[in-house]
Amino acid sequence: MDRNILGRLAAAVRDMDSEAVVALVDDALEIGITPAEIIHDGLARGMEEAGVLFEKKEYFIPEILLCADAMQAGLAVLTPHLVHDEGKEGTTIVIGVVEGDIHDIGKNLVKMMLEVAGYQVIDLGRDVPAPAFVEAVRETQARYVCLSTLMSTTMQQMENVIEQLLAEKLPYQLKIMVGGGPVSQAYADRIGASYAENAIGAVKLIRYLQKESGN
Amino acid sequence: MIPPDEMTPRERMDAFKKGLPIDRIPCAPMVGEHVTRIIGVPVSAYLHSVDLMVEAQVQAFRYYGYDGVGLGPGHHGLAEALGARLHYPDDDRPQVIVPAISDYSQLDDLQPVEVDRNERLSRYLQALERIRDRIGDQVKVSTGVGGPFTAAAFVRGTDDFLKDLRRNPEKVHDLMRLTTASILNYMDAAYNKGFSCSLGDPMASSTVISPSHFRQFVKPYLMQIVTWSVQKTGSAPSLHICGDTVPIWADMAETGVSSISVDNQVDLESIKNAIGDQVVLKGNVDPVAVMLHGTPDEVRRAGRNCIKQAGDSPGGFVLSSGCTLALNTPRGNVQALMDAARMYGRKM
Repeated sequence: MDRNILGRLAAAVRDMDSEAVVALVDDALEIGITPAEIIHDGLARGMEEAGVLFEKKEYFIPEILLCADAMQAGLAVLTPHLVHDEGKEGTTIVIGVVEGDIHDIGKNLVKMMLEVAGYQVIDLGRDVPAPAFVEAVRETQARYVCLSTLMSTTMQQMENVIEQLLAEKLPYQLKIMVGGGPVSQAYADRIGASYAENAIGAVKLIRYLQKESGN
Repeated sequence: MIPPDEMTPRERMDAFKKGLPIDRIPCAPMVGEHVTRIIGVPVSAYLHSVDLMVEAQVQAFRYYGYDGVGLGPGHHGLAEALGARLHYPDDDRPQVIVPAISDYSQLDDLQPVEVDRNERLSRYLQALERIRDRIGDQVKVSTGVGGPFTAAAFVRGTDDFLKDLRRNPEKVHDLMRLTTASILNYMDAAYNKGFSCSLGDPMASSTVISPSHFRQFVKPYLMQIVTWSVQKTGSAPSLHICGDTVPIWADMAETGVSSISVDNQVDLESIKNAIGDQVVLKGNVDPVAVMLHGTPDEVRRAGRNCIKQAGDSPGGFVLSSGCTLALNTPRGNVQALMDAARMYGRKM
């Protein structure tokens, strides 16, 4: 069996080549590679490689967006073949852009990277009022919440959301992660959240938090 | 003890521009809509009323005494004039909710902005004239507009626009020609009323696009604007780009802009050594961690540090914030930045 096909698939995602991704996913299915393997060793690996290039400042936002499109094109081919919840059994994370802000490129990148890394992401969208975060956590029993904003003016809204989330009586300790243009480590420290500088960092951060808390 | 100023902001900046001696380093924080806090009005009311714009700008200048008063359509105004739909939250800055075009076939229908036919752009010029009537003897009043790349991103929708840099480069150039022509029309209208115009192009940052895309899609259009400005007005505009700009400093200077304003993540000493002999440098106290959340003491220290790093830049230095201030930046912190220029920016 041509396992190398997954290497070529990863490279096609990294190289922003949606057409090649679709063809390679078809080929991989045909030779009997499971959808989970295709996601994990092909699509997700390609996004990880793109992430490395981003960290090395060889890739920038346009390239990451196009890699994401290529990966999505591959996922679309796989969707009918996915057994329920396959590859998505992971921890649940609630994500959203706080109220007053509609800039969601950063949030979408974080969401995608988390999904590719196997997390179940509940996306509340943009301009999300604080009670909607509380509601989503209550419903899904998510242990992780990601808050994003691009604007310094709406950053204070993060404190409001955190306050309301902490007022909620939960049987476990909720972990809150924040990110976005004006947000800094110092600000996150001050409001009692964890900070990720970018989408790659968000995945690393949640893995770290999971290890730390043992779930 | 804060030494008193010996020149008015107007005298200081006139002398600064001519390279003559000045009493202290100029200080011009990017106050933006923070001026609404001085007269206690919501941002959307301010943006829709010439009277409120005039009052807020005049009162904020009287309160702080900074070295330049600026008002203009900024990043969103041009995109709106080209057909993007904005949302005006009651008390916050506007945001683009629907781009002007959803595909490039619609581009043919778009013509460069004509200022006198556009109500909002005309409103800024009216307000600028009235502000100048009231305080123009004390301070230079000027305008500012979003740069061509950021305007283009808002006309097309940011996600698609960024992908188009690779998918559809020819259309990106078409769009850049349209926004550039629109900016020139606005600058021309402003200049005819005696106002110079600065540019801010945050989307062109190396935090967003690669330096090679900057050279391909941004630099030629900035150069076109600068060339026009020098020919028409005798001087070049200033340029602010947020985020990381290290890889494009030389390119920014090569566009011929007169002054470059940088984000707080930029090291002022490094940019001074790189291009400080070619342009005025402006920056760069952290608008959030220091200006919004810091104490006046921390602001003064940060201001002092900027002056220490770049106060001796050969092309000149203006103390400022690294980006536009948050609306609710404490007044005492803006005052503290002014004080830093007075305390640590005396010319020996």
